[in-house]
Amino acid sequence: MRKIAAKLAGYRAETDPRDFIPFSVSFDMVTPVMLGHPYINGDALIMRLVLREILGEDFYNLPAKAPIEIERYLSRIPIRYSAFQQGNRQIGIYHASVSQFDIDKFYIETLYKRFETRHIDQCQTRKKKIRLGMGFFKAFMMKIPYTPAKSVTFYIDGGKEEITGLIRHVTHLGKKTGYGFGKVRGVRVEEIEKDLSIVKDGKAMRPVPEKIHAWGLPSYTQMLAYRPPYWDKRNVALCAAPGCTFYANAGSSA
Amino acid sequence: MFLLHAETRGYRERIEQAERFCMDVIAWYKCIILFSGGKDSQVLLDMIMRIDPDIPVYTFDAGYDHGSQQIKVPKAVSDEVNCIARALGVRRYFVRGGSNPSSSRFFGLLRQVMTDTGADVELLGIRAGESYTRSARVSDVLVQREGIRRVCFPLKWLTSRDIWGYIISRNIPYLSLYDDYARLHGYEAARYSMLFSKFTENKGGYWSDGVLFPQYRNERPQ
Repeated sequence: MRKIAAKLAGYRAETDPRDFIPFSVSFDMVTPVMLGHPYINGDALIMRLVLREILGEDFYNLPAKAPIEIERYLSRIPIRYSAFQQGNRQIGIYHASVSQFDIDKFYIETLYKRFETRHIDQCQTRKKKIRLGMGFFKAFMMKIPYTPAKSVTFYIDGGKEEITGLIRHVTHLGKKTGYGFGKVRGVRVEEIEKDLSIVKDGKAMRPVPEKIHAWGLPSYTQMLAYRPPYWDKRNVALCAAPGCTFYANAGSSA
Repeated sequence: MFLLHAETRGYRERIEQAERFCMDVIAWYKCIILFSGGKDSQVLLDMIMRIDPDIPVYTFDAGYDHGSQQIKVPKAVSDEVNCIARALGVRRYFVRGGSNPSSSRFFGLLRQVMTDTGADVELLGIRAGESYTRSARVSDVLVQREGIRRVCFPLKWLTSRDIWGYIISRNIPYLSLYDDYARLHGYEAARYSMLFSKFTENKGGYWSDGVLFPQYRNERPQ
């Protein structure tokens, strides 16, 4: 645990924030992307890749029962970070959009998980009966949504070279990649003139806390996590949902 | 499609049989309807309300689960369920729950309401076509004993197509969640239960809810 904390604390992004530039990352997909949420968060993807880079093999052996508060140790990842003072609290977001799929449709696929008798020799138990209806070996028949997107695009404002080096490790996106879903054929990184990571054509590209009025007033809001780790309920706030329209407000303060 | 189905002879026969079951059980017992807000209990509620609108109706609002820190029935959905019940003409409506859903809480509160109203038979909108276990459960006599409970399943021989045929042909209001689920699963396979529930995780309901209803994932009690 200490070793992991020391590795995390020692990390510094190679790119100076003054050298950050806006660019897009487009993944060409071979197979559909399976999801448990309408989108993938770009900063979460980069954060995961950064962690994997820092921790190496330790990344796959992290304690599951007591999650590490990674944000305590990890300094800024190579993505632009905008912080806003709200009273005595600071709210910040990374300039990375959520995934933009080239298709707006979701479908359902049924996946089966069941105990295989051919692996019974690996079963370390004295029990002579395997229960499939409940417990550790419970059989699953899950209907999970997928989108047959041919390309998945993220807009990021950050260290292009460093992030390009990180995303070369991405072989799959989304859930159930072991089943073959979300396989990536190739990736294109292209510089763009304008930062589209937060607003594009007046639409929100990522969850933006409602208290931040720098980009205008949102057309609708939802309770969403706005920074990694996205599973952590402490990061949830009333946010402009991705896809909502920002209306200009007269007294905006960035 | 459902309107066409509602014109078939098989549909009419099964609906008539269900209505006959309802009339028989109401004539002999003091009943209470267990209304979840789903399509089956809506049809059951409509059938019963056409016969006797004074039958008490019990609904359990699962609300917020403090253990998993997850909303199970969002406020908008529970409001819609209550609106539907009122629209179907319910006069004696008992809404219980609101947080920390559990079966003991559900049945404890149900027992209280049954004692208060003097009801002795629970009417449930469970159908044989839903699963093998439900098929085995409903295949007994009309009013059957389950432990200390006396239960009745008047809709037991209806199909999901019959249910939708009944709803569409009679223009009964139904939960808007069904339209959202139908985008993924189709109307016949669309099921309403607690959102983000561990009960439906092994069927993938958890993931469908994540994609369809991200706005409810982090809703907190008001």
